[in-house]
Amino acid sequence: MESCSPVQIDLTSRTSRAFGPLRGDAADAARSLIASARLAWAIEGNWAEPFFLLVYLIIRPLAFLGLFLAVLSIGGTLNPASIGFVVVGQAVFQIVGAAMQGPTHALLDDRERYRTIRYIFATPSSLLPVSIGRALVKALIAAISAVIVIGVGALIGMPMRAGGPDLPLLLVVMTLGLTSIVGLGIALGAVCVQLRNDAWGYPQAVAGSVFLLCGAIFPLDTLPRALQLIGAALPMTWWIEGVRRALLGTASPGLLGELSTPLLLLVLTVGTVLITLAAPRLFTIGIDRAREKGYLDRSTAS
Amino acid sequence: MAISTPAASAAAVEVSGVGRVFQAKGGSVTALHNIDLRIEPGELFGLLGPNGAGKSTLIKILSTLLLPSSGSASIFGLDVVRDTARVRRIMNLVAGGDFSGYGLLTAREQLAMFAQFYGMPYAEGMRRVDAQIEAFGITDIRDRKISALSTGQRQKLNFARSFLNEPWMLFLDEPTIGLDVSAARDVRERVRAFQAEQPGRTVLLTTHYMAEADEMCDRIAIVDHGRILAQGTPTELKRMVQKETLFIVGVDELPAAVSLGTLRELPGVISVVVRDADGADGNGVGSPVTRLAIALREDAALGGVISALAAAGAHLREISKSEPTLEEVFVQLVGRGISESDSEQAL
Repeated sequence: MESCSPVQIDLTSRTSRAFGPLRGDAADAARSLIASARLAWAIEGNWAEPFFLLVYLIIRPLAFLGLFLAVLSIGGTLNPASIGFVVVGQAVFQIVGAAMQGPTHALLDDRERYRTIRYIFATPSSLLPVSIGRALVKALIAAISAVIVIGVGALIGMPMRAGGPDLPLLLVVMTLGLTSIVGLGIALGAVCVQLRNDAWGYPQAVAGSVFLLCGAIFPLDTLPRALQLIGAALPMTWWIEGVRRALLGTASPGLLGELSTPLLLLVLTVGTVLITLAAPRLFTIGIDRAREKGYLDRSTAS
Repeated sequence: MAISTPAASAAAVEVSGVGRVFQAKGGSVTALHNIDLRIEPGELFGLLGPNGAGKSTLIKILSTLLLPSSGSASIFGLDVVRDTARVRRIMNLVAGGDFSGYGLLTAREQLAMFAQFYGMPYAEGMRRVDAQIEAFGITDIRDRKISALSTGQRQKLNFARSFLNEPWMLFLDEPTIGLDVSAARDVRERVRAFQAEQPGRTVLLTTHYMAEADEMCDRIAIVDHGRILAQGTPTELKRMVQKETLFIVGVDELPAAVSLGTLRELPGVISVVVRDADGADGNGVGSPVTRLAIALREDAALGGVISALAAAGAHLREISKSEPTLEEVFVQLVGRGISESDSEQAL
């Protein structure tokens, strides 16, 4: 039998990297991240129906904004400062929600809907850059909503910073905030990939809880003490506060407002570094466990 | 670069005592029981068994999708648990019947994306993408969205993806399931061509289709309930259920100079019986043919029979070798047909 005759394979040729040091991992990760970002753009940007685009990007966030402003009005606390507080919180949270859900939805979509997760997982690429790429594009698209919300806020009396937004501060807090939230998102994704069909709702539930705790619509001081501590531990709290200072030029009322901007940046940086260090490790542990249990390739329908 | 493993002389697949237990609500389910398997470089090896036999579980373990509960497995000397990243550089897999793909991407876009996941520079990736599109004869659908492709086209695309990284080890899990005859044939031919392009490329195929296994595989393992019941070449497996060789020899008529008894006494002959006698075309039209069913201890004994018939003046019309089918081998080993087994699984 010809095929069973001894064959000497030259392992040093085309696939020598398989047997030598894994050089170029960063380049491979960058390629995977860009490729998955392109995929996410094709999926998330599939706005064949302008009506859905309108609802998703504009009407939904503005409807929530209107709701919160109505609550303020009924409570008799509607004023330029409170409008600014709610508008920025609502705008930034568009990005928080999208980035937090992004990795989970990418993993579950690939497992349940597109049935491609086995083929991606079996490539040399890690699922990590693939998930990050998908989350970043979701966040980018959500940023369009955020800009629209802020634009509408400016039109209805939100007090902007004298001399325009503090762009360097905005750039720094957005970079740190986005990094930390994507980190939390991938950690959440690694948990959710071990769950069955109801896993789709978990990121939304977590994001909703965070929304109430991070000072997006209520000042942190209005929460019970225990929840204040939880809120203070969330990077989103510091991120939103930083954006408020960059756009409005004023700090939030209460304890958070008493911190200097450099101290706020220090806290946000430390939090982001910790999350950035921990999230990939948590992701790896979660994916390894899913591989061990056989969850990676197990669709809910099966 | 120095080779840091003994892989150049290693088996393509080495499985040693691999077991896999799944935890289920009602308790644990053992999908694989201490499997041992060795596949040499360049082989096309088949795993034949019903649904639930453990074929796909073994492929998932070997393709790094799943961890074994016990034992070890390696691909070209690389451990599938410890050397995962390296294993993934030299292998690929295709599963049948799952209609995978991103419907919003075109065929070419999806392949290009996977080329990136395989770590190829863009230009090299696109060169390979276009080469595979050409090789599979799917240039007409290259710019068509995947949602608009037929099952056969999607599976060809899936195969094209699996060839992008030019794997040494290709895992095919029921790859032709759901394909029409023509698409299945195209896929099989492409797999053969892929192996022929580079000595050492190895394929592990799971299939339900006996004819596919018989036609394609150099060796086959028959698997049931997580155990390998037998393995060998298709001929060896058939020999397991038929110890003797059976030839059907057709002559115009049996000459008076030679009797069945004479033939039975020839060396290596076990039995000779007249199987049937009919017209040459099977419809009773034309000159008659008498067919003898001759059981031999070995193929070489046929020469003596033919010589004896010729010496007696018989005109030889046809010779064929009668072998048991893989289905018969399967039934003998498993105790039921593969379709019965699948029905049991479905219940």
